[in-house]
Amino acid sequence: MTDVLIQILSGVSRGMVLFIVASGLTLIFGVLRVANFAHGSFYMVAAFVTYTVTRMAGGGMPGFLASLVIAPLCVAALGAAIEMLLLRRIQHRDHFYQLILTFAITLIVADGVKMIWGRDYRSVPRPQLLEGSISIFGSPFPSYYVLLIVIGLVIALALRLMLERTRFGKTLRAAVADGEMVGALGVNVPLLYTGVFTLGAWLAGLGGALAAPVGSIAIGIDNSIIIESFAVVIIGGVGSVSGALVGALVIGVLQAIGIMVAPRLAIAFIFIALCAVLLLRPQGLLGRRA
Amino acid sequence: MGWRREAAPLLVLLATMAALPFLVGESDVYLANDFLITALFAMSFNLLLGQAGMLSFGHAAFYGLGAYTVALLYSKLGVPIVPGILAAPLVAGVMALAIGFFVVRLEGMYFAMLSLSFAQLIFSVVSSWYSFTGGDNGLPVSPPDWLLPTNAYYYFTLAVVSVCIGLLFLVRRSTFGAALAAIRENPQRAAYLGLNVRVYQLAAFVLAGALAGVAGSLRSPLQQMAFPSLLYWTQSADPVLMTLAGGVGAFIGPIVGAALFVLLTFVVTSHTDYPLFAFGAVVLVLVLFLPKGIVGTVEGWWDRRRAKPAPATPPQAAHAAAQQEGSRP
Repeated sequence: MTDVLIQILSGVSRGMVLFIVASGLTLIFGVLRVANFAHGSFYMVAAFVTYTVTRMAGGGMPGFLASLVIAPLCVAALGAAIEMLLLRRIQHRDHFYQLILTFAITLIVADGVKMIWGRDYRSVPRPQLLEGSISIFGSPFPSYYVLLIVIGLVIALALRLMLERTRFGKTLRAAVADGEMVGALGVNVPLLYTGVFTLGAWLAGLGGALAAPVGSIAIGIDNSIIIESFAVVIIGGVGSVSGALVGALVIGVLQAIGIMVAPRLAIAFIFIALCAVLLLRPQGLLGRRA
Repeated sequence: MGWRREAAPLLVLLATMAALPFLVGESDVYLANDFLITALFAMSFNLLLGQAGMLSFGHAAFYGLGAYTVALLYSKLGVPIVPGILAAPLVAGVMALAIGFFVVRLEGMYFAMLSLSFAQLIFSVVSSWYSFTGGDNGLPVSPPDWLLPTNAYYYFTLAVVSVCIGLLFLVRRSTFGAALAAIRENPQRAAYLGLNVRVYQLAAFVLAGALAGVAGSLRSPLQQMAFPSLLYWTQSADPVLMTLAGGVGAFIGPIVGAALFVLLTFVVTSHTDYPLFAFGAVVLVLVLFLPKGIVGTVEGWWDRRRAKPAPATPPQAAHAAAQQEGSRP
């Protein structure tokens, strides 16, 4: 029984990383109405930057903390540049073209990462303080996973406060509900778009930096995270951060249980859930009907 | 646009492709074979996007199913590849009917996402079911002796692909094609006119899936192997990019796009280790500067040149029309 609990809890910790990444994706999708394929690339770049920073800093706690600051910032800058220099130029065209543009960026970044970091698997050590595990009903549970759950909750709370208390957050929510009206009311739409895209990229970067010390980093993690993140966004509802939290936890736990029940078909569980949501409630669990 | 103007380039292309083995070496014929299969895959996709306005992001599922139909029949039951290639559109078509039944209920981005998820579902089954599909190791396929020579298999592919593209040409000009175009332009109006929109969309989805299955069934004997990567979602992006590159609105657009990509892959992979970078850069330039694709841009340029003596359309109207056309997915 404790095995199942531990498995579910590790699913929750994986779900928290997924939530951080997907919350950025859902905000971009909700405001700019772009299915941003490059989101997975942001995640991957951040993971590789984390590798470089921790290597340079020697792998201890300072390096870990530095990478948590530096990697998401690098990716946020990359996101801002992409929005201002490329996406903005085709803002008024059909969304199809914006989708293709972000896809082109994933191709360029995928090979760009190969050029800079090579094709080998990389791993990032966890800082000594977080290397051990805590005991839950006598079974060990990695402390790093506890940290992931805590950070996920902090980010969820921070995003909620930002969306409800700040002017930027309120404008952002208004843009999700009715983008045209927000422009008509005199909001600086280009600035809003850049802001949301940069924030979204930063969140993808934070997710990538946090995921780096779990498992290994390799070419191709961009392709798998983006599909999982799309699944989270669709399940939760486009533009809804609380929806992304629910969707990410559903997928994280479903995957963890799937691995116990039928290891090889664990991915299939996600898509079955996704198809079910799209058919029964296309606007997502917490989304509003357009 | 007159049918002659659409058919003429196809016939020229067919004649060129038929003459090709007399003009170039064996490795180039293999490359041309790759092009033919890729072109059919992209053309089958554009029946959805160009004709019916449906952006499917899971088209590789049917391509891969076609490839695996041949491979499974061959390695499990010893069925030769020609009956396998005949069975492929049936298997892919039946699967497209099952998936299409669900996906045509959604529109736009949600349609794209649901088709993507179903395709990934099939991919995850194929890539993890080792005892049946061989998983990541793939499944071997060997063509019979009479199809082993590069030129023999090339002419076989050319015949099959020509028939399929001929079929797509007839579909585009049929009342069925016209109904799809009406649904693309305005689904609501089409519904008011009495068209059962979902049934038409489902029929297009099945036909496109079946033809992608044919393309896939030609692919595995060419490579003598069926791999799960044929079903992965990045493979679904290929026909989208090729169609965009060639031109969504033009019938031969995807063929031109496929030619560009096959050539680019060949040139880039023989010179650098970073083919994706080159693809991404080319797509980026196309999206930013040539939204109507190569064929659309050339046609527009040609029409403007011919229209010069008699400026029938005021420049503003022409500009507006061009913009409208450019904005259509």
